[in-house]
Amino acid sequence: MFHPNTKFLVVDDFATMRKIVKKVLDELGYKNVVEAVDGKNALDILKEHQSNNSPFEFVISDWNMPNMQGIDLLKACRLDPVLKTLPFMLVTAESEQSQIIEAAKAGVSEYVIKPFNGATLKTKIERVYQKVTANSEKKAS
Amino acid sequence: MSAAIKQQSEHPFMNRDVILNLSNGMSTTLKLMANIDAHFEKPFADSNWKSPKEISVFLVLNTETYKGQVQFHFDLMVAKKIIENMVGSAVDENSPEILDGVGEISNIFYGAAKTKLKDLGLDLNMSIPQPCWTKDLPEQLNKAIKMVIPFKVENKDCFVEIILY
Repeated sequence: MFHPNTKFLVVDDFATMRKIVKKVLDELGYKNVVEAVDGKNALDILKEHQSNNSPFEFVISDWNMPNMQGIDLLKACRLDPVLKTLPFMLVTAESEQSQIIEAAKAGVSEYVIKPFNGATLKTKIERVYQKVTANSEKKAS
Repeated sequence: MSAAIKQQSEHPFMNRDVILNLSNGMSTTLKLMANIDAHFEKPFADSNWKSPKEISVFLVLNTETYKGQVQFHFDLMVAKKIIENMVGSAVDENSPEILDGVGEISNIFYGAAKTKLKDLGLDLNMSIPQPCWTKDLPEQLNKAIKMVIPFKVENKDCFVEIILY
């Protein structure tokens, strides 16, 4: 799994969902969690922390949000030379095939469909870790 | 079932799949996210029914031909319990957290129901659920036909209300 100090950014316009994700992360041993209220706010925070030399290592974002949606935040990250490899998990209540395909094409690391429980989120984070590790090993070789 | 409801039996919002998916969406969400069981009861029709509960969520359902609303009505203590179970900490029943939490949980079962209904070929135009105190619900049009589906959570009554215009 990711190291316990991994820095997470949790993005959701509903405070309750941010708390739920934070609670699960806390139970998994991750305490370094920052919150953002929408995609635009998240992008500002990501860039600010990047420029302060304390970059985020994982984003968990809702899809449907005002100002900037999660999918647009993901696309913005993938276009940014620094943020393009940032592990990025999308969380959404809508599981239409077209959405899942759009997220995959945009380069999402994992996709979580609400409702979910702590075990599901843990499994998805582990899968992201395996992908990140596999990519690192591929690059190294 | 009343004559008025019988007349509306072809109405897409009275479709068994719509009702089942809304109630199943809620049951699944409450169980998975809050570890709470919801037990649905027999629906009834009553055009004069008013929610006796403190918290409501409403969403507009539209097709080109039909207009209507679905409302969920929660007991305040049930809403508090659901949110506390979800976030793992105490919540003040008078705080904005209550509406935020009910809004989020409604968003979840709305999303689940919307996807399943689309899979069944019922592509309804549904607004995002709006949580509010029941006293602040928008006025309903006259001559609305209502179907009420009671459900129990923690032995307290809550309701799904389907309103046809």
